[in-house]
Amino acid sequence: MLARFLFAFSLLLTALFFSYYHTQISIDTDLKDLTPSIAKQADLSLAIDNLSNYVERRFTLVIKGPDVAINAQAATALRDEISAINGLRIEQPETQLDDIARQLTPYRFNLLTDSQRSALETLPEETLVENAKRRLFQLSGTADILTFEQDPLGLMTDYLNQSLAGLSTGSTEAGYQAITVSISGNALEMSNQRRIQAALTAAEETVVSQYPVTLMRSGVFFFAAAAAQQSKKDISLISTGSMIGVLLLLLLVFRSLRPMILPVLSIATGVATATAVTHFIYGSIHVLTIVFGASLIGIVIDYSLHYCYHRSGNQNHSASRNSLYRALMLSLITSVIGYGALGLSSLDALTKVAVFSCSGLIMAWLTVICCGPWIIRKSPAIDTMLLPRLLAWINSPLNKIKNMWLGLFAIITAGFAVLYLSGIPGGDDPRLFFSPSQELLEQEKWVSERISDFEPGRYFVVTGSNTEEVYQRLGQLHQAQELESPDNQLISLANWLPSAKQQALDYKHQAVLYKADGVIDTLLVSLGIPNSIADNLRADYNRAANRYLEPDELLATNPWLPPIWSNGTERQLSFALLNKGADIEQIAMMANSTEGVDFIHLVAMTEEALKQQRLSSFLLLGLAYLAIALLLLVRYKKLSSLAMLAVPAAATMCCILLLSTAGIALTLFHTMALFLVLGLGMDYVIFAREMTQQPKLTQQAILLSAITSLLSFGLLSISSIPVAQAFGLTVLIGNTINLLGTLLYALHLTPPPLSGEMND
Amino acid sequence: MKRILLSLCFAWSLLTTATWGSTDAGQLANMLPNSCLFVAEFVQKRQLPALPTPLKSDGLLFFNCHQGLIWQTLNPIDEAVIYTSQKRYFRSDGKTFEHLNGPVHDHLAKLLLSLMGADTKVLLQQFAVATDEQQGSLTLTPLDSGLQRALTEIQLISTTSGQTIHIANKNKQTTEIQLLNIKNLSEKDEKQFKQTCLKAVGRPQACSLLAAPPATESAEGA
Repeated sequence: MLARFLFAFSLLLTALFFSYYHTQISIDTDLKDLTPSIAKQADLSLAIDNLSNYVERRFTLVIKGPDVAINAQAATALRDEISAINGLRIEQPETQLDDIARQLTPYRFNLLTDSQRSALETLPEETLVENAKRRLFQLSGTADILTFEQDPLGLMTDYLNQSLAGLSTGSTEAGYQAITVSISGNALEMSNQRRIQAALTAAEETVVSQYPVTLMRSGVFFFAAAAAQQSKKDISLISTGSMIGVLLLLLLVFRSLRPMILPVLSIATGVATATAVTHFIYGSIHVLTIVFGASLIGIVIDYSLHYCYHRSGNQNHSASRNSLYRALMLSLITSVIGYGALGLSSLDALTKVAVFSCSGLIMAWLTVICCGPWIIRKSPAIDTMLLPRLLAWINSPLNKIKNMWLGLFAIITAGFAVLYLSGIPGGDDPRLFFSPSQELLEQEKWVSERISDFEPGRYFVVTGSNTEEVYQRLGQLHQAQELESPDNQLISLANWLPSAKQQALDYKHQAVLYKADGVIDTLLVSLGIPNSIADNLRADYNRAANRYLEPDELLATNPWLPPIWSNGTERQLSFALLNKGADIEQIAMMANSTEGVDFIHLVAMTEEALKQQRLSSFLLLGLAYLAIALLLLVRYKKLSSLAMLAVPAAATMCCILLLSTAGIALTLFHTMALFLVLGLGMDYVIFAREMTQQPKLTQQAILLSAITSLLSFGLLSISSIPVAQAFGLTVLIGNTINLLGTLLYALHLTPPPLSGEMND
Repeated sequence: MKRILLSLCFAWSLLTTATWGSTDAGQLANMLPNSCLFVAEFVQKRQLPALPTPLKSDGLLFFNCHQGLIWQTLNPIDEAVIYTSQKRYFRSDGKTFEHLNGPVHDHLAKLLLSLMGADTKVLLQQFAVATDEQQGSLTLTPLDSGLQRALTEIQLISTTSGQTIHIANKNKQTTEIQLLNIKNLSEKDEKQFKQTCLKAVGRPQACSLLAAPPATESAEGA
């Protein structure tokens, strides 16, 4: 009754979800979900995420060709094409620099370069006047940014030229033209990504067909789009392949369409509910969840298979029916424990897989329990040739294995496994999780070497209790960089905007210029310029007193600048970025000598975090075994029932041995797949134990379940996505051993008829 | 018949486009000095809207198409700006020198070296060219947005006494540079580069910087 209520309720909620949200289903391709959070502090984690989002939302297209004029024309044409694409905005470096110059101009009385400050501090007024006059005769004066009336000494022009030089992007150098584009909205949402990718490709093809140029691409967007495309292909292959393979197999076994209704229905409801629940909780569904979820087909189908098989037996025997339902319940619980343990990981991707899989499993199980009696009204015919022969063929060598050899094998395996575990090479480099195309990598490298930009994965974070403290530490970091690593460039807020305290000091320094009969007055009189200009300047200077530009205001008004400032409640933090090609080892040492400065190396930190995850996952696996052991003790009330755990345990050990022997470094995804090996193994061994009234039928059902699982995970193991491949391969190996172990158990380790076991 | 006419029109437009492009280069070359090595006098007048009279300066220009140029102002200030072909730039007062960095000097150097070297290919890549036949002048409008921040247009006028270059920027400041008494130097002079330079501008430090520009921004000494 409860099961029917839950089934109906879940079905209703799933239907409601799809009726309301079917147009808003969002598929996420953010590869960051595959990496754990590396920063323990929330404010730092948020700041790192903001900087990462900034990087993800921008990409660069470079037009390359032998003729500079043609490159310029092609660039103009491409800009026109891109401007018409919804959601894309071309960054105009010169307009942006003009905007920032315009924003800084009212604060020009607070802004001085180091050499200007030094001159104002040390030189007498006569020399300052002389230098200002000299400047008026120099050729470079033709390029002043402000008018003479605003900036007669050209101080602001020199300040802007110096401080904004590092921000200038794009290149007019012969050979290429660069266009930087930013994406509004979610750059990594699949449908948005697909639309933009298609429109970009069309725009590029138009330009390349009109001009003899080649196009290079650079940016996270392209890698994410390529990964999403590949995932889509994999999803199609795995789900289609699984479905076709499974249905054909069922057709072969049951020789009728009616028994296939229940498996198809349970898969459909399972996947639908899983999608609805995951999307409802997270607001989107990750593409990797779908890839892993596609393999769920091979597990979900087990419930309907066992149901059909055991309904073909003596269906009127209530004890048999109760055993079936009990076995189904235990199987569900162990599978949920196996998949649910993935949720204990701090990786978003695995947590989502856990939610997707557990909700899908439960719903599929409810479908079988509630709809089975209605769909399978009479015993389906079962093939008596194919599976029995296959089973006999497999059991033939297994029959020859005696208990003692089995025990010995288990001990030796365990021994080797322990040895290997202590020295198993781990593959925790996050770069192993992706297999980007060589073409994209080469283009990325080519563009990175030429377009001035910063290292997106390595930088300093400077913290302080207030803005001034952060600026002081930034200053120390810049000094250390100039002394110890002058060939490298540090890009920080200090390059563009001094602290409020420094602004106040520089304002005072400029008093000598704007005071009555100061430098400006003397200069303008000597040039025969009316007093009004000097008076206006002095009034502007006085009005600017105590008005300082703060970092968050500068960054808020110029969203194209990297978000390298963060105001927290308890502290401020700022990033100091490194130019591409910087000597990282040399620079990282500087963090050690400066208080409040830490070096962030995203790949190394992620690798360390993944390593800790991988090692702790073995502990979690142990806990899962413990949980299942308790479950078995509660159910069977005998210590001998713990021998059932030997099957998945041996499968786990063999997995580790085989992967290590093959030279495959174990990643977190290999170890997480071992949870599934546990769940599947317990699934089989529980049915073997519970359904002892019909051992042959049970073994055939187990064999069929294993084949369908192996089909799904076998397809996953040939995925082009390394993480899916790791997962699939581990389960493929593990489940094969699960099958053999279960059959062996059924042959040799089946306990005597149950006595003292709990009744329904 | 229609098709033949269309084809002829298309061919004619191609021909005129090609011809027009070469006319630009030709006209430009006619306006500019045509020697690899020359020395000239210059008079510079810089007009700022706020100033009642233009700021006038004069000096000497020494150009070598392989090495770069020296812009030696003599009056009212005595200093040289050296723009080398190796993209290193300096300012020298005879006793000390400083490195000049930044986009302003990058643009100016590229402009002056192209103008003095009559590098029409580079100029046509950076500027749109318009002819005023009445005045006998060419107007160059920058195509590059970075250059547009520095100047809005350059006008070239050729006279009997030499060439005149007008530079206007977006702040309505104009700079007029007259090149007078352009004296082409021979290949022999080029081989004796340093002596020729010293003889032309009389500034040893500037000539040394042009001949062998130092790479690092280290101490500046005589």
